[in-house]
Amino acid sequence: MNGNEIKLAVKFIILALLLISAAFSTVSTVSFATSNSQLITQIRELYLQLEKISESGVNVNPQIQELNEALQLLQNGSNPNEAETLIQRVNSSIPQLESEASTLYLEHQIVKYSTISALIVLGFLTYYFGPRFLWKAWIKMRSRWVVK
Amino acid sequence: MIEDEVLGVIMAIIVVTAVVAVTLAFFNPGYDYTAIGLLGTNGKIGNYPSHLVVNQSVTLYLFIYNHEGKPMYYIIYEKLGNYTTVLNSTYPGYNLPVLNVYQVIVGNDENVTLPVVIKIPHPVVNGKVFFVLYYYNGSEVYSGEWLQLILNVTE
Repeated sequence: MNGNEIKLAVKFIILALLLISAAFSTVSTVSFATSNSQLITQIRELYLQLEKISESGVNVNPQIQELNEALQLLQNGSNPNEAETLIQRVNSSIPQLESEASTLYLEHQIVKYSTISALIVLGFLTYYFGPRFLWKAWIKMRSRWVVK
Repeated sequence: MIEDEVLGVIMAIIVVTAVVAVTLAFFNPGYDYTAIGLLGTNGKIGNYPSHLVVNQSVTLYLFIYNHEGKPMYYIIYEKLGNYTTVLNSTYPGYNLPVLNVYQVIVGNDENVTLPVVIKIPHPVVNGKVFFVLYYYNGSEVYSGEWLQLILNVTE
């Protein structure tokens, strides 16, 4: 192998290394972007679940704050790993929140329909016993009256 | 001694108050809304830029208050229009070029102040930068709210 051949081989190796590193960086950028968009999709799905849970009166603000923190980290591109950790944490808290939501929903329904029933019963009681009570009270208040 | 008429009026007031209180407690007819406002470079009202150089970045702040009765996922599109561009509650400027997109999730009865960057890559005379508010509920929906800032951009 003469000097020219060695130079050519070195050039070829350098070119090959450059091509490999360029390809690797492109692949890693694409996978980073894909991973980010997947995480944002996950955040949106979790948000919809939390929104549904919040309708029953459960306080989901701590989870919403964590989701927002993850969203900001992904938008800034600063720390996708931390964002993923936050997303996983919110995801793992969903079953507990759903259980609280169903209990709270049941309680709200019981209180709501009990109140409506009580108002209806109170209406009937007032209708039947109201006049009797009113006239008894009327007579009692005027029991000491004297007709002159 | 209380007269019958007075007693009747008092009882009527008590009954009406009770019915109104129960109705408000269970069927809350509250008014839901989102408030947005553009704050200047120091994070307060005022100090808005009116002149920029091409590719100059300026950071303003967007204040968003959620009173929708539930957490909200907001998406804000920063768009560039000209002096004749007019948005309204049904037209969010579909064809306008998008400069930036910001996303933020805000809890019920909470607010955020979001930094937004304006950077325009070409000269503009009397241009309008719009901040158009969408919300996400499974798909992106235009909220009908937007803000605008008029500025000139020179070389």
